[in-house]
Amino acid sequence: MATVVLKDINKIYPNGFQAVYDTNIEIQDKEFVILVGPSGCGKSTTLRMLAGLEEITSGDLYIDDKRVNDIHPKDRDIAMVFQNYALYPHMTVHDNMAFGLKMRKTPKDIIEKQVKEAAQILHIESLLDRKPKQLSGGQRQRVALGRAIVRHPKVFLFDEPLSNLDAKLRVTMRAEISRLHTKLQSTMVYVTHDQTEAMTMGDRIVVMKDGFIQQIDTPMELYNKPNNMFVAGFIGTPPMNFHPVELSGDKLTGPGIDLAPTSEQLAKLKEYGSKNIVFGVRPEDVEFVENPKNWINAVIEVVEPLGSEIILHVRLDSDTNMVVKSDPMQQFTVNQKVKMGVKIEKCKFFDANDKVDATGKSENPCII
Amino acid sequence: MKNKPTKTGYFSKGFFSKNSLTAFCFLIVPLAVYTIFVIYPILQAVWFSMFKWNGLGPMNNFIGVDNFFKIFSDPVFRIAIGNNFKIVFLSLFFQLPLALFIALIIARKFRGAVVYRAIFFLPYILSEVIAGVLWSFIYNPQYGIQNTALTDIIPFLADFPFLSSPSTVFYSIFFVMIWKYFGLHMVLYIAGLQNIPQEIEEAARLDGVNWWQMNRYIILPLLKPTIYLSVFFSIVGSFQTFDIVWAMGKGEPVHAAETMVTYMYKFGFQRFQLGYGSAVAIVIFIITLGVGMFYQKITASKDI
Repeated sequence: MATVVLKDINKIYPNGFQAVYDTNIEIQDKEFVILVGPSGCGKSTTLRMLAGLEEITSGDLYIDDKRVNDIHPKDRDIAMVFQNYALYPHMTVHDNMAFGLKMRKTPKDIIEKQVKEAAQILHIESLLDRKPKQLSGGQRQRVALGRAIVRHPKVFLFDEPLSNLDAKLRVTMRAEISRLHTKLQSTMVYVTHDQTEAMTMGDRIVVMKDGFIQQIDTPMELYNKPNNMFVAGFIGTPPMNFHPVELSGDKLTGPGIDLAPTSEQLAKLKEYGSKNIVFGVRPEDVEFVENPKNWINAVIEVVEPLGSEIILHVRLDSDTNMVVKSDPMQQFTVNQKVKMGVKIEKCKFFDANDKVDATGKSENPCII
Repeated sequence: MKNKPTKTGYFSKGFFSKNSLTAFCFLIVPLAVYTIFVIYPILQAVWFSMFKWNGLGPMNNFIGVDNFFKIFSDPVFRIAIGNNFKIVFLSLFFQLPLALFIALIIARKFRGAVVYRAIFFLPYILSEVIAGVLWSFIYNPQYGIQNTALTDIIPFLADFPFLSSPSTVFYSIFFVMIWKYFGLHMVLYIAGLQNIPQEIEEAARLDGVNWWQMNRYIILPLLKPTIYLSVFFSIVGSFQTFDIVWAMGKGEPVHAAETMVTYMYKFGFQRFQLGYGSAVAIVIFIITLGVGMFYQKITASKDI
């Protein structure tokens, strides 16, 4: 098992496009770190640089304190699970799993033992003689996992491994990979664009956008204390609602919004000084109660009952929209006028203006 | 509940099914064209092959299968058929491996890869006759570039009559065939290589393969369908070799570079023994069809 350190890593392609900017990540031994972000944010490029499949333009990459920038992928002692499984179609499941060991000239009896062990862990013993085309998507992904674990590598890398599976199977495999991490106690780096995967699986999450790291934190810290508007909007389903407001006196006012922040919030907002503020409220921080202290008037446009909760798409007086969650026991109808209580102490406030730092990265920082 | 037989059930299978009839309707025109321009000439050639006929006048000298006996008792035809099989063998063991090797190198993305591909493919788009004439000049012992160049490199081969010596004419022409056709196979292989997902190669790199192992264990097995196709083209093409050989000396001297098609052409269109020429054409057709079908059978059974 191993630690992985990325120090000031940059990736610039020959055409001049910079995919990753000054990336610094320290991954502890046995840690499960998720790289998450929208398409083109540089997460896969970062993972591929870690694997050695992509050259590092500048910076240092260490695996177990050893600089590996110029070390061939096969000598980094890593294993990678690809989005499209990347199984060798002409080999059986057994041979797919044994191939890496065979190339490393592992004795035959040890290969057999390790393949058998890996197959048992992933419940694919009965599939060993089949070829990939005879397997379902889920089975193929298990084989891809098997091919990775059979070598007992120092670090596991996952490049969106569940993207090609259907929603139900994705949930099963998500748990399977988490169990695998607990069982193998190895360092894992996992790339996904799905924030649910990131939140449910990772010890720590690295949120990326446009090649920059936005925040590195535990799932709950990311949820509760986002660094900026992007992180706040990316983490959580449905995403946080944002509305521009202005601080006038002790009130936050905006189109259809008139809120009284807590004294602590007010102090911080005044201290920050900016009048143009974006107010962020998560769908779950809205409540439908009698006489709420802070409220927003809205009209329900869509009702989505999910059983455990109801998702409501509402329109505010200002003609802007919001998505909120409600208790499943409450009754709602389309076009119903509602008074939505806002749990103001849980709301976030962001600078409405982008702050551009020295590297050219812009963001709407979280004030409180 | 038992399924009741439907009224349409009887017609749902076999020739009278709706699908078959629809397909047949669409195929009437192509079938008619195919029959007129392919089946009919073949049958006509079979008919001609049973006559001693010069192509003019009435066909009244029916000789049955005598032409076929004559073909196989002619030592020149045996040289020709031997040369054809030699072309097949040499193509499979020299031309295709060379094409594959170059494809493996230039299929990768690097600066100038497209230029290299174009350069190697260029001879293929040249007409066979032009290529033959061009290389006849090159091989010319008096003023050919080949001999001029060899004067400095291998002096004892200078002024060597490559196309006039029975011992070298076949291999000299075969060299031109490699030059002419390897580009086609190279392009086929490049297309096949580009169909191999990049992730598979990356997975293999992480599994620890070197260049040789990558090709041996990953690339070549995945390239099998393309290799089978390329080999098939090569075999069929080899049996039909004509233009280059004709342009570079008509299979002479002393039939050293004779092929089955040059042999057929000589009898059919130079000596006007159309009956005999037709019999040779039938033999070429049967050999090509037989080898082709055998090849398809053995490759179709392979699990790719």
